[in-house]
Amino acid sequence: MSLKKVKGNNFNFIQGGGEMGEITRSIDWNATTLGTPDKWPPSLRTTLGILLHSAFPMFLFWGKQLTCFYNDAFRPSLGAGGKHPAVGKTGPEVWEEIWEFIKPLIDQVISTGEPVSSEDQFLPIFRNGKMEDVYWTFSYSPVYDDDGEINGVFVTCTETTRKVQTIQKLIETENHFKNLIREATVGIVLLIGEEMIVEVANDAYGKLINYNYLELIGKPLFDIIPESEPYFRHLLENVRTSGQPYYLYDHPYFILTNEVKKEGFLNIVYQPYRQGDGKIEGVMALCHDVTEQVLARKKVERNERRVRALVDSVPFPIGVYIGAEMTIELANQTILDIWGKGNDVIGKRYTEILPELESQEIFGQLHNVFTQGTPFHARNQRVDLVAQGKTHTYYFNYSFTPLYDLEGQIYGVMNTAADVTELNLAKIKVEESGKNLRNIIVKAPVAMCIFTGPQFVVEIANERMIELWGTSFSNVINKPIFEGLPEAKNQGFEQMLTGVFTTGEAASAQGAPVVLPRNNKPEMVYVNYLFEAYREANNEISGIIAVATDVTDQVIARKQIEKVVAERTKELAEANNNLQKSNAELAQFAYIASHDLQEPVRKVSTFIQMLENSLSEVDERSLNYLGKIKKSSARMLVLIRDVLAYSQLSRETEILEVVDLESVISDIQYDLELLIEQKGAEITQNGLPSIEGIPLQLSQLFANLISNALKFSRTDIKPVITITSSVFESEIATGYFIPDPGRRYYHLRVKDNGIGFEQQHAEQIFSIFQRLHGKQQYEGTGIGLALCRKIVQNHHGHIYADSTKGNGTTFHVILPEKQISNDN
Amino acid sequence: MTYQKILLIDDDEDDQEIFVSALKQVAESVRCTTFDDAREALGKLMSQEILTDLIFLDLNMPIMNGQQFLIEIKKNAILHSIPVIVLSTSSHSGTIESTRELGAEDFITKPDKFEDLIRILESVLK
Repeated sequence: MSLKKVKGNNFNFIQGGGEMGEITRSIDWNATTLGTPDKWPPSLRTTLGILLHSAFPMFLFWGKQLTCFYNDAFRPSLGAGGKHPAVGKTGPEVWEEIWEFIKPLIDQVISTGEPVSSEDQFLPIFRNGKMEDVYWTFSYSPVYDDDGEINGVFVTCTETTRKVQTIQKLIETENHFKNLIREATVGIVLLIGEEMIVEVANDAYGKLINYNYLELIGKPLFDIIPESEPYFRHLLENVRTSGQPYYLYDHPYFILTNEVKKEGFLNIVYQPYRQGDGKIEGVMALCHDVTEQVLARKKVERNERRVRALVDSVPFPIGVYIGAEMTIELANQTILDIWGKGNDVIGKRYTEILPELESQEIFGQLHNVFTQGTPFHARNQRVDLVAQGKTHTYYFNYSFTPLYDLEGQIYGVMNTAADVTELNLAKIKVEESGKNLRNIIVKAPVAMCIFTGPQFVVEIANERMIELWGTSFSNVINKPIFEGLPEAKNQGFEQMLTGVFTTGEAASAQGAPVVLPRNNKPEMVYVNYLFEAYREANNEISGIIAVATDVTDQVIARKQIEKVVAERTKELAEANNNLQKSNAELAQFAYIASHDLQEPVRKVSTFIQMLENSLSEVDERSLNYLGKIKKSSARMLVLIRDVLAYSQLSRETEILEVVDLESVISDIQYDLELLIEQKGAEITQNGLPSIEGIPLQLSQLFANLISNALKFSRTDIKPVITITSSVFESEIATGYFIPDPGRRYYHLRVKDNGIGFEQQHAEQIFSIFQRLHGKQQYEGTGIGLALCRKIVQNHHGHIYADSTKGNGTTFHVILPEKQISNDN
Repeated sequence: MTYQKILLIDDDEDDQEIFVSALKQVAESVRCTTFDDAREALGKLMSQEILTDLIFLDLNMPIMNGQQFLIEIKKNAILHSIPVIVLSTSSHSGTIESTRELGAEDFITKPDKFEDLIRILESVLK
C-alpha cells in the first residue's frame, strides 16, 4: 500500500529527479516518522538531492526506521508491480525477502562507518510478481547527519544479472562444447596458429596418436608427432591460409611410439577455425580411425581377387550371371573357350552373347533358377554352340546354382559344367559296338559267356560254354546262371561272381575242380576259368564276362604222372635208405673183420720168421715151402690192411681241412725216398693248389698214384713223374662226372713215362682187385686204384686215366676247391 | 739208458712169446716179467712185490685195458715215473694221441715182421 500522495508540496531540494522526484515529493511525509521534508536535516536533503539527480542507480536507507529513498535509475531494478513505489517505506518492509542478508551489511556500515561492497552478488528479490534471480554489484556507504553521527546508508548499485547469466551460459556452453569434444568418438584436435599449437584435444585423438590427450594441450602438434609432419603439415597450412576445408578418405597414417610403428587409415576433415571477428585462428581436425574397415575391405578385395584367379584357373567352365537379365559378371577362360568368345562378354547379358541357345531349353532353366531358387542339374545334355560362324555339338553335365546375398535374396546364378562330349560320343560308339561284342563271343574258340546284373543272368553264351556246362541253350539263356545250371551251386561260384561284380577285381583259376553234368550225371571236371567285370561306357559294372576251358584230360593225366612219380620217389628213397644202411653195415663189418683178421695173420707171419731163425739146418725144399708161406701170409696181411683202409673211407665223419697239395707231394717224396733212389726216378710238381679235403685220404691218393707210377716205370729210361694243376674247364669233362655249377674245380695230372696200358682198360683198372699184370711181375693187391677212386668220390671229384701201351700214363684227378659242408 | 728189469702186460700168449723171444736176441741180460692181467700187474707193482724199470703195455685187454692201467699207474706217486711204452695192434691216430696224453712214453704198432720188432727193441733198450 503506497503512502498517500499529497499535492502541492513544494520542496526545492527535491526538484527534478524525474519520476522518483515527483513521487518523493508527493508522499505524505507527515504520516512517517521523518515528518515533512522542511523538517528534514540538511544531510538528508543533500543526500537526497544527489540521489534524485543521479543517472546512476542509487538507494538510501535513512534513520532508525531505515526509510527508503531511490532514484529513477534504480527504479527498473524493482521490476513491474511489487515493491515500487517503495519511497518512504522502511527498509525491512521493502526488502523483506533479503533483509536477512542486507541488514547485517547495513548494521556493519552504520557501526563501523566502513563501506561495504560486493560484485555480482546473488540476491534474488521479489519482482514482476515472482522471485527472480538477480545479481548485484553494489556499495553500501555511511551517511553522516549534522551531528556527525551515522544516520543512514547510501547504496549505489547496478544489477549485473544479465552479465552474470550470460557468463554462466557461456561457461555452460563452453563446458557442454568441451564435453562434446571430449566424449566424441572421433579424434578432435584444435590447432592454433602457424605453430599448430594444440588448444583442444580429446581422448579419442590422444588414443589415435598414443598420447594422453591432456599432455597435448599447449604444445605444438608436430613436436609431439614429428613423424607425421612431412605428410600433414602442408595440408593443415593450406586449410589455415585458404580457409577452405579439406577432406581425406581412407588416408594412411603412422605413428612412432618408442620405435614401434602404429599404422592405420583415417577419414580426416580439416575445418578452418575462425575467431569472433572471422579471422582464421587455426584448424580444427576431425580424425576418424577407419583402419578396421579399410583392412576388412582390402581383405575382401583380396579374397575376391583370389577367387577370381581360382575360378579362372579351374579347368572346367564357370560363369556367374547377375540379376534377372543374367548379366555376365564372371566367366573363366574355359567357359570363354567353349563359347568361343573373349573377355568382352563381361557385363553383357547371357542371352545376348549366346543367342543360339534360345531354341534350346537353357534360357528357361536359367530364369527358373533365378526366380525359384531351386538349383538345376542336367546330365549329358546336347548343346549346340556357334563359334566363328560354325556350329559345334557338345554334351555337357551342367548346373545352375542360385547365389544369395547377405539378406538372403537371390542376386545371381552360378553356372558350372563338365564337358562330357567325348564320353557321350564314345558311348554312342560303344552301343554300336555292343552288337559286335555279341558276334565276337559267339565265334570265340573258347567257352565264353556274359552274365548280366547281380543275379548273373546269362545274356550271351557260346556253344562251347553250353558244352562245358553240359546243358542246352534253352536251359540257361536269359536265366540267372544258378537257376539254369543248379549243379553249379554251392561250389563257391556265388561268392566269387559277387566279388567280381561288386569290387571289379577279376577272379581266375587253373585246373580247378568243378562239378558239372556230364551225360546228365554230375561229374568232377577240371576247368581253367577267368571272370572279369563287364563295364558300361560310364565305367559302371553291369555284368561279368567269363572265359573257360575244360582241362579235365590234362589234369587227370598229370595226376597219374604225379602218382607214379611219387611212388617212384618213395621207392627210391627207400632204396637209398636201405643202401645207406647196408653200406654202413658193410663198412662196419669190413672194419671189424679186417681188424680181427689182421691179428692171426700177423702172428703167422711173425712165427714163420721166428721159425726160420730157430731152424739152423733146413733143407732146400723146407726153406722153399717156408718162403712161400711167408710170402702168402705177408700178402694176406697187406690185403687185409688195404681192405681195412678201403672200408674206412666210407666213414664220412672226417673233419675237412685245407690241404696244401704241394706239401703232400713233398711228404710223399720223402716217404718214398728209398724207392725213388732205387728207381733213379725224378718227381717234379708245378703250381699245385690248396684244396679242402681229408688230409690223410688226399695223402693216400697221391701216394698210391705216385707209387704206381714208380712201380710201373720202364727200366730202360729214367722214370720221370710230373704232377701239374690247372683250373678245370668243364668243356672237356668226360665220363660220369657232372660238375657242380658255381664251384671251382682243379684239374690235377699225374703223368709218368712208364709202361702204360691199353686205353680200353682205362675204366677197368679202377675196379677193386683188378690187375692187368700177373702177380709175379708186379706186386700189389690191385686195390690201390680202387682206393684212389673211392677217395676222389669222397671228395666229390672225378678220376680217370689216359694211357698208351709202352708210352706212359696220365692220371687225371679233378677235385673241387671247397667241399660243401653241412653248414653250407 | 739201460734197463735191467722190464715188464710186459699183454693178454695174448703168442704175443708174449714173440716179445720174449725178440728180447732175448736183443738184450739177453734184461729180465722180463710178463702179465696177462693188467689189474694183477698193477696190484703187484703197487705193493712193491714187483719192481721194474720199464713197462711194455698192450691196449686191448679184458678186465682192465691198457688205457685204464695207464691212468691208474700215473696216479701213483711212486709208480708214475716208470716209463710206459704202448705196444698195440692198432695204428689209429686217435688211439695213439690219447695214449700219449695219458702219459705213455711211446706208442709202437706191433710189427708184422719179426726183424722189425727186434729193431724196435734195440732202439728202445740201447
